[in-house]
Amino acid sequence: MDSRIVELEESVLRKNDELAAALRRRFAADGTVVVNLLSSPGSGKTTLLEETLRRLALNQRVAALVGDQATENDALRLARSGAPVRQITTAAECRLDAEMIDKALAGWEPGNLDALFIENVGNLICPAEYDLGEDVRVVLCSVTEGEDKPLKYPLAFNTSQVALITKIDLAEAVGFDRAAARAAIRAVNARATILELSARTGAGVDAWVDLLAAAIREKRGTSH
Amino acid sequence: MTAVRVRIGALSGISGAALRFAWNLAAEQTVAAGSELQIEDVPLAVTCSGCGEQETTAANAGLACPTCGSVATTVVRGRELQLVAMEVVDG
Repeated sequence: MDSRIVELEESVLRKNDELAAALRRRFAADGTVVVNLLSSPGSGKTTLLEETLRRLALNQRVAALVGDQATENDALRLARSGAPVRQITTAAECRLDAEMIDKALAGWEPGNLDALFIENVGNLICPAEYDLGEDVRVVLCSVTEGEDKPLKYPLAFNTSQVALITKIDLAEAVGFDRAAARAAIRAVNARATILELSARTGAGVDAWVDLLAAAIREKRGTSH
Repeated sequence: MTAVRVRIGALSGISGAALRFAWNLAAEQTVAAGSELQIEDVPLAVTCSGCGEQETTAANAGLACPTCGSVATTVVRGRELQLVAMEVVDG
């Protein structure tokens, strides 16, 4: 019996990357901006998304997919915005992947969308690995979490185009060091747009919505 | 199958220790049962547009260029999660 080496040189995530590329082509043809929201549990993804959908739905066609290990709670909260929402319950999985997005879109007709928001499972490690075919990856970090979070989870912050510092209304109460937080984001991502906001008070939300509206205009311009 | 070689980047989010811990159990009753898991660790490397340094291996903390300290870097190695090869016995 002889042993031999079989060279494979294959990415373990190849299947996900291929599926994500197919989703990206489809969203490009549809002119739909896809936004993937990443954060720890409790950073305020759902609260911000509810407010974002409510504002954008006034003059854009928007919808959301929301991932959690269990419960439909977040979908119910987001649906209050009036936008079409679908919950993905991942059970054992700690992140969304391209196949889950593909399956969730099948048989769901939210209409011809200007923007689709994907609220990932609250986790800063695994979701950073999985391309969902998004145009914009957004990472959220609240003022209560510690200014060095970007240094602890560099991939999530490095692969995002936008970094949001949330719950800025609590900054003073928790002694938030704004300069340190921004420096930590910059240490792992030189290019990301950094915005500070509070979905509760509305502070800074205009700039975030403007950024999304600009992305929608740009994509619409290139898809026709 | 007698061995499987994987490549794991420092920034991949994959723990080699956890993978080793799970390997034997996951391989049980498959063609990989009893096989050896070989892990090739890939250190983090960035290119720096600040000083033009190419593929400098960065230290553990942050993605800043270790030569000039600029944060205008791009990760070029360290995100790998690859199946490199397997060793099989014919017969």
